Amino acid sequence: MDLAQTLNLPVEIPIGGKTLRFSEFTLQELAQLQAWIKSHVVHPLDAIKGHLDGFSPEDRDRVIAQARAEARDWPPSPGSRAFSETLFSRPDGLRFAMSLALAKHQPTATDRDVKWLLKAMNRDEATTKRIVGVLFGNDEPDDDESEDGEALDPKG
Amino acid sequence: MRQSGEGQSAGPIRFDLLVRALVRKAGVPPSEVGALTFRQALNILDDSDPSDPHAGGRVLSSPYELYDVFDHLGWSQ
Repeated sequence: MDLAQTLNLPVEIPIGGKTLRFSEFTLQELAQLQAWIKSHVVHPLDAIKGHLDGFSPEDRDRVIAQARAEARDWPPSPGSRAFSETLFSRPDGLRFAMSLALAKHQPTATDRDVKWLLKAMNRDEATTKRIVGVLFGNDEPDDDESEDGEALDPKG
Repeated sequence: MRQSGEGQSAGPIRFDLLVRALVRKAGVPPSEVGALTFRQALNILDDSDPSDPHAGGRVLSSPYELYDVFDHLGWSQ
């Protein structure tokens, strides 16, 4: 039993020459992410309105059926593939999620820090996977921690 | 938190049931539920370890296991 993990203590993760602290999202934070989706992403049924002209009847039925299926679980539930895809397929969704994650243990972090982090994540897929794993409770041991860094400097 | 659809398919996690069980069965104050992680919530609800008088001990991690917990608590739909 990993007591630190059970108590959701922050994990230090080096990225881009800095060391940042992250921990698993709480239910309240997951709710904030879901609320973001609800307020920023068009409802699946609204998304197809006005876009069905020119479809064959079969394709039209298929698109409507898919939208209805997505609408049954709208906004998508945290932990579902639809939730992750909806949130992370949009740059503003990813930015919101990482802003929430970063501010939790780096309370002085600014929008500039969030932009810096997103750029660093874009250059480091392995560390990005680790960060996302920690945030969503899928973290697994990772031996690839060769890069030592400094604590986040909000002005840096 | 595992993606539903990976491995055994359990469908979306029913967070409404999770919160209800935490409050009604485990006695977590409603104001404190939001501060728990998914992993902590499952750990609180898990009473599958007979050696643990406080009904904890084994950390669950998947939606599928969550439904096992609900079954055990009599919260199946």
